[in-house]
Amino acid sequence: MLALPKVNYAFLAPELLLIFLALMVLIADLFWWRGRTRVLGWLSVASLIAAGVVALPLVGKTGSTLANALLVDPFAVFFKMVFLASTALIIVVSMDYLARYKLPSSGEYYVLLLFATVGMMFMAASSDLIMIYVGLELTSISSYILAGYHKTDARSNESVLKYFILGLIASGIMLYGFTFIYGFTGQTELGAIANALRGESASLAVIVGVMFAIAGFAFKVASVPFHQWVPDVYEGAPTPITAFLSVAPKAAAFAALARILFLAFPDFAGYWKMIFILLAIASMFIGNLMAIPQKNIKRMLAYSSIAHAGYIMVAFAAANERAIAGLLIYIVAYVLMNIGAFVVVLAVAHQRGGGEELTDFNGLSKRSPFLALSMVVFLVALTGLPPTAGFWGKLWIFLAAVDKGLWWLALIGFLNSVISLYYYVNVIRHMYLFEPDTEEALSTPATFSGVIWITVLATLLIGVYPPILTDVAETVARVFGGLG
Amino acid sequence: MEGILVLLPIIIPLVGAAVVALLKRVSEKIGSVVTAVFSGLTLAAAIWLASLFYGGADLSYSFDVGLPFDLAFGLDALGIFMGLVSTGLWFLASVYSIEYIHERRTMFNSFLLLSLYGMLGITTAANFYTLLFFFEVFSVASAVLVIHEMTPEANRAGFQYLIISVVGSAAVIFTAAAIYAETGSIDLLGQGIPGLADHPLTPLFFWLLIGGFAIKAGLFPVHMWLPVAHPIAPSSASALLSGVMIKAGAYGIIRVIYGVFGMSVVNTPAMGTLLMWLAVFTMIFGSILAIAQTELKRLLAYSSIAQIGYVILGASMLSGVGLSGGVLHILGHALMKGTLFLAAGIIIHQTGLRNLSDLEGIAKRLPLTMTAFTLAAVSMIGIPPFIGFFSKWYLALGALQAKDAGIMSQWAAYGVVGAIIFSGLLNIVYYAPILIRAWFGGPSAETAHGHEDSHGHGEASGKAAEAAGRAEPSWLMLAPVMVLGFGTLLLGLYVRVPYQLISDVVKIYF
Repeated sequence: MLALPKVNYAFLAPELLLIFLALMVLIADLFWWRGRTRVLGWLSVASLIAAGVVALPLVGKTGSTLANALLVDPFAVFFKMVFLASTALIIVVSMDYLARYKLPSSGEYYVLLLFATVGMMFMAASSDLIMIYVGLELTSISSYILAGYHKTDARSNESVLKYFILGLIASGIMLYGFTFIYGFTGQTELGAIANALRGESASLAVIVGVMFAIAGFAFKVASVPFHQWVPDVYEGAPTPITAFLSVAPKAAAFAALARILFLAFPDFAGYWKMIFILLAIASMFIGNLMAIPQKNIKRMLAYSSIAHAGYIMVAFAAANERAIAGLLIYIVAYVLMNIGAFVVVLAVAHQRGGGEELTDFNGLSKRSPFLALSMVVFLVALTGLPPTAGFWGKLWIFLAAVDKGLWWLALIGFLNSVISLYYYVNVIRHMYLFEPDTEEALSTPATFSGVIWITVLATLLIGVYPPILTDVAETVARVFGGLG
Repeated sequence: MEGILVLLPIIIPLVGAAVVALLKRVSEKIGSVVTAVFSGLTLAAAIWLASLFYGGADLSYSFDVGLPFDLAFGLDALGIFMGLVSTGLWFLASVYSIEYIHERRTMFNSFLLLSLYGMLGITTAANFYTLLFFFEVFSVASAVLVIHEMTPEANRAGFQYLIISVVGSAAVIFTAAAIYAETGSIDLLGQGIPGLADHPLTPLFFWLLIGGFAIKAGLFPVHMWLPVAHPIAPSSASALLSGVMIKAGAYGIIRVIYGVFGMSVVNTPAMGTLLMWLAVFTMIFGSILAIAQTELKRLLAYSSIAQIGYVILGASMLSGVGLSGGVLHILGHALMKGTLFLAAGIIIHQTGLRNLSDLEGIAKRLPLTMTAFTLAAVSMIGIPPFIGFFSKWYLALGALQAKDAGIMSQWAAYGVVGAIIFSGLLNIVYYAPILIRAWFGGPSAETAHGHEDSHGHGEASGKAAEAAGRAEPSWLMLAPVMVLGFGTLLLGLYVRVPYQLISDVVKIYF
């Protein structure tokens, strides 16, 4: 008989509960509240909150279950909370969006988001290549469907087909890399891989395996040179989904990447750091430079998100405890400011005659001072200026790079922030200095303004009083203690 | 060596489905006859296995599939009983379908046999692994029967049915895996898996398993799909869906209570008692909703919800007599609901009428059909000596026995008895008006002319309206209905015949 691992259901409770509640939302949509966008939306938000409450007892716990495949540690819990919160924010703003564009089957939309969240939670908590892959696919497949939710829009269809095919290739490459790793070490569990490799000289097979795995993840986080799908998909997807794709699955991929590299391949850091230096530089430059000429604000933010993936990759190039803390701070800051910025885009486009072009932002300060001012906060944060959360994320990551003697990489990062300032300020120029086509005041649905308030306040609060985030991040980063 | 014979009733319908599919090129009509032949062969196999079983043969067989557990089959008295009831009704329904189904015959027939394959797989499964395999086959195959007419409503009903079935299967798969991880056993045919008795998660496992099977059975509060799916299917499929397919869920619940957890584990307020009250509530709730229906088949579907309540009540009151009442009701309800749905099908096929208000004087045009219908309806109300009376009688006795054994409090036992009587009264409220209207109502002009409605047999209804006289169908359709209808009376008069089989079922656990 197979030796069975003891399952600690308390460790699995948030994921299991979320799966159960997602199925309940599906059934509620199927039988009771067919197409009741708001009821189902709030039900989904309640599901996420319930999963978060169940995850609370896990704070500060360390352990593993399912034969070490699933870890519970501060890192996992931190990311679980980030995913739950960001999906909740996305669902809140989705309700008005779905109603405005009369998208069908809102129940499926929410259920897919919830399942994607489950997949991300597994990704951040797994310490087994197979579990990571399963979590990744659950997230990716849900994302493919969500990105193509404008089913009758030809442009959206084209972009999602691109996304789907490239995504499959990326998954294939990643799996191929995993097979090399498994073939060489005979293990899929990350700690066991590290043990098997200890003292071994770097074999080509393992290096190829790690490279392929990184390439697969680089696609998922939209880093150059695997970024071609990003602008099209971000433009074609429903805006709340664009916001979702630009933050949550990216954060999950970074979390899984951190697990794999720091737990399984610490001895190979010399090799993979090089890769990340290259990826980071390319992503920052290409992302920022390509963002400058964009006329569509979603495309602009898409390129900007490529650049942000580059900043975060500097943390992997530095690869010490402070860099991991920086990664965590950056991800939280990025979730807040990027979701906020996209919601402002949503709110502007929500209006009759509104759109997603830069010119649609002309004179926004006159039509809605609140939206314009919030957008300024988000853009300042995205640039990385104080007093916003974005500043502390960049600071931590660049300091970590300097610690490791990568001062020139930090300098490149700083230079890129300056470049990004150009196109971010350009939006501010359109909002404050240009005359609007119409003086008509913009009315913002309460859900949008609620989410904007939350993200603005959090961005500023962390910016003014960073210890509320940085202390947590440094505690969490100690999970990977013993890094250089 | 006899063990391998247990596969016979599973293999025959599977082969039959393939043969019918291949016959599509030759003749769909022959395919329908072949379907009936294969159903008949399956019935014969089930009877043969029953005789072998009562001759003392050990009917179990398992395949080593390279997993830690086997693809294991086994028959005990309950499996034999379920097999006889389902193959019996399946045979009659497939004979009926030869005339009744006009469109997409091959699809219908092959999925009819595939559903039988799934159903018998469930009732011969010896562990969860085998059960889940056939559960999925069964869910998908029966969903195809639901969407047979391919109208938007039918597609939607089939879709709902499929999704909720998958959700139910997911609950069962997850729990089976968890139980295996905790105890190392996925055995279904035992007397309770050791190790579950004092496990802290036992109530959760119990409710997840019950939830998964309750979806199939149509127990409140997961019954929502049933009144949508059952009426929309062609009537011979409705008869099977209501008559035996929901019993696959009830069968699962019986196995979960007695085979997986064991009576002593389930005998707690949070498990057995709560399930029992859910069953009681389902019984009343289904009947009350049935009263509000205006369409015959929908009324019958709601009545099925009420009736599945009886079966699960029998299983969950944890007394031997109660269980015998519940199991007897599996047979009784298969006969009664089989008759009623097939008779409703004849009414639709011959006259095109679906609404209750149109059934004025229908008995004058369909005297034989309505005789069978009346027998079944009277049995449904629970008048002795019909079979419907005996299952309720044993259920009530079971409640009193459970009270004496200290499983149920006194007021709870009286409450259950009261609910059974009340539910019988509710049955009168919705069956009596149909009978009165059918036998004593005058044929109005409306009945004679209107309603060559949207439904697919408009042509037939037109002809019937012209004739406006006797409209009985051919014996191919009439015979199954008459057999079933008179079965409710005969098996009531000779209730000791089925009761002998059932007492063997009860002996497994008591």
